[in-house]
Amino acid sequence: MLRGTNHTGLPAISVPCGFTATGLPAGLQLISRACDEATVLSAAHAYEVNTPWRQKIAPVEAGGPARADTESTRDDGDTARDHRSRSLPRIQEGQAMKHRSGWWIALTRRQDVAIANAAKQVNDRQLEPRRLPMRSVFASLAMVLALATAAGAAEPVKIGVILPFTGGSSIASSEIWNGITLALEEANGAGGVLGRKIELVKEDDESVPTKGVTAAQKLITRDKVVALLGTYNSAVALPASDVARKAKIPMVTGGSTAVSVTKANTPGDPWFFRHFPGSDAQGTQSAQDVVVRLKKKRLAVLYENTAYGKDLEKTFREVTTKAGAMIVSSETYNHGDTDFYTPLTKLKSLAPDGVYIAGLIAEGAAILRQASELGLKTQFIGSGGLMSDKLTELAGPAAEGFAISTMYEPSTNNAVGAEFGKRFAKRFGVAANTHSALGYDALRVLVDALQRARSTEGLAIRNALMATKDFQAVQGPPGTKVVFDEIGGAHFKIGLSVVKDGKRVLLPYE
Amino acid sequence: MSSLDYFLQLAVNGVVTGGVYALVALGLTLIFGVLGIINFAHGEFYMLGAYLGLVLVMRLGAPFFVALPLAMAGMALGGIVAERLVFRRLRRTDPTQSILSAFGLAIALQTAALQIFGPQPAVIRTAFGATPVAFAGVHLTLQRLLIPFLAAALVLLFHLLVRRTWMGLSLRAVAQNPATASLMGIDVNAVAAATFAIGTALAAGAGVLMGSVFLMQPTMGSMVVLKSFTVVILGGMGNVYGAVGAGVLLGITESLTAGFLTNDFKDILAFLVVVLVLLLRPAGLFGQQVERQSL
Repeated sequence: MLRGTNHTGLPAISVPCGFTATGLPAGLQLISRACDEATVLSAAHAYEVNTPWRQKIAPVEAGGPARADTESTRDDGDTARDHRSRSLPRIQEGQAMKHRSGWWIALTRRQDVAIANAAKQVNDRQLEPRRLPMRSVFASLAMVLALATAAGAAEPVKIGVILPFTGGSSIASSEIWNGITLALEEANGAGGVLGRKIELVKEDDESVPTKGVTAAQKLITRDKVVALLGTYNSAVALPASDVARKAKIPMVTGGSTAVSVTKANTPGDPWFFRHFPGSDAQGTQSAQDVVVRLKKKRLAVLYENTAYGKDLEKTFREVTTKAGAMIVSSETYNHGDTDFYTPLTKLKSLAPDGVYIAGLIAEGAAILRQASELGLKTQFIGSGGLMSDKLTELAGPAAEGFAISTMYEPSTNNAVGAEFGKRFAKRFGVAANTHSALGYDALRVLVDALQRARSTEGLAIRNALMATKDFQAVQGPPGTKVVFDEIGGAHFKIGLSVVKDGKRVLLPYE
Repeated sequence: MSSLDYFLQLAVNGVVTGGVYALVALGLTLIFGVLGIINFAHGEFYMLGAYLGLVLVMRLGAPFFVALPLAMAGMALGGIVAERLVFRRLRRTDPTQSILSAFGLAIALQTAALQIFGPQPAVIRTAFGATPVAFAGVHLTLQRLLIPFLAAALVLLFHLLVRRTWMGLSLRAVAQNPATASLMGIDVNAVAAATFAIGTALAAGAGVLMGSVFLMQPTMGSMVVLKSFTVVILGGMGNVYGAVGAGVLLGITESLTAGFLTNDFKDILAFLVVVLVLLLRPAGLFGQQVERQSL
């Protein structure tokens, strides 16, 4: 039949229409008038929708590996076999008839045993992805290797770390990584966890959401990590945490602040945890500090056009207007922008008392520098993302007087935090900051949960994380303990620092 | 701040960025005009120029006005090497091959810069950067004020090179018709090398100028090359003077849009204008419709 349509050039389509007496799949070919593809396609579609054949699998015994055969019996062989014995119309090969609509309906025997086997294998793959021949070879190799190493020492507990090691957020990322590294060294120095060493597997997300998703998938499926730590940009953490949620692997933030990420958790069943206050609390605190402590009433906002910036802007606007201040301008910029002369010129013409920057270090430093170049004199207040010595270094004298919400300063009166600050400075030769502190706490909070879970199983770790109660954070005011709420967020008081003589000075907690 | 001051400040901001767009686009359009290559690695030459300037000023302590020509010369050599290694052997092949190779080169250079200089932003600090200048209500640093003047000087230098020298003449001849030019005894390979050297040097110059005002990062070339490509289209493909005019115009338009509307519209507007120009004046804002040559 194929040859006939090939020669005539008439539109034709073949659809499955049952099985022959020997159990081989049979096809039905529909042929239409020339140039009448639409009819042939809709007829074929109607036929497929109204018949069960396209979902059935040929019940073939011949050929194929023995193991696959037993599986097919379990999965779908029964139904297919039933169909053959019960309901199959005994179709004769080459049978043709004229339908009343004027269509020629021809039955052809299309497939031989080999094709039927291929179709079945394709089906098996869809149902049981692990049974792919190549994969099973690798799996057994991995088994052999695992057995070989198990004989030597206990396998390390693998934790995946996703951070933007390159790109616009690389500064913060390297600071967080240092905090994590210190926590790792201390934990392994104290004997690791569950009698095993902790091993970190690093992945770079470059601040790109799709790369974050790939990183999470790779860490979970290939590296078989027991938990994830990451990432910094909320816009990346949001889709990456979704991977963790689906795989039921607990994930602790590596700095992402936007509440949208914890809000994506099902209340009571969180898989993504943020061990410090989210953007709503940070935005609220900064907004109150600006109006109440710094006494600024005419305010403007410059915010990054991302989940992080938008969440902060919204909260800041709500809280300040409620507290009696006025927002005279709110402008957005893109992550990676370098020229802020124009928005700053606009601000200069509006002359606000205070300008809130909801964004990250590189852009924040550029804004401060260019504002001073333009002669814009106002009180700048930054979100937690601007917290870094690198900012004061890049902005230079322009950073003087800059106020920033902070969850950690080495000068903190939180005793645990101050001790951490000393050890950090000794290990890395630079002062700790909010980023290194949150990285340090992130890994420690995970290790603490692993310890209590007494298992590396995802659900056990998750439940232990939810039960966290005696964890002493280095961040926050003295005696801060991390307790997660039902969507995986934590709460404590956020401080305010002001840059004086090139150094941040923490104002006392109120 | 009066509204006139505001307008002036925005216009001056626009001229500063526009000057840089013009320089980068000038090189891009020159390479296209003479050799028919769309060099997507041009933004990376700009980025490498900025980093070369950084090394010269910050590490070796060279004065800014020494570092600028040195960085340009260094990158001119780089451009010649790129032409010799990547583009020369693809000259007679399908244009898509040289576009793809240019993308490859861009990725390679960006990754190399990432490895060498690291991902953290950096800035060239100069004495001019800290000197504020104010006139007619417009505030600038001396460094920023220098940009349009230095850009204008480089464009003038380029003009003299193309119009008054033997090399410029052969450049124009190859742009007009490579086959005839080579029949007249012009070494097309030498012209290709010179074209890349000039184009790359201009990009590097722009990079050094921008690197002294803004923070530089290995990824800084990607957006600039898109913007410059916009400028090249606006000015008319291969039209060097069109590119200069369109560059400054784009800078000012962006600045005014962001100032009087919002910052979000800045990039939308630029690309919208490109679509309109392509629809209404396919030869560019300053271009003349050229009659198709009869064979």
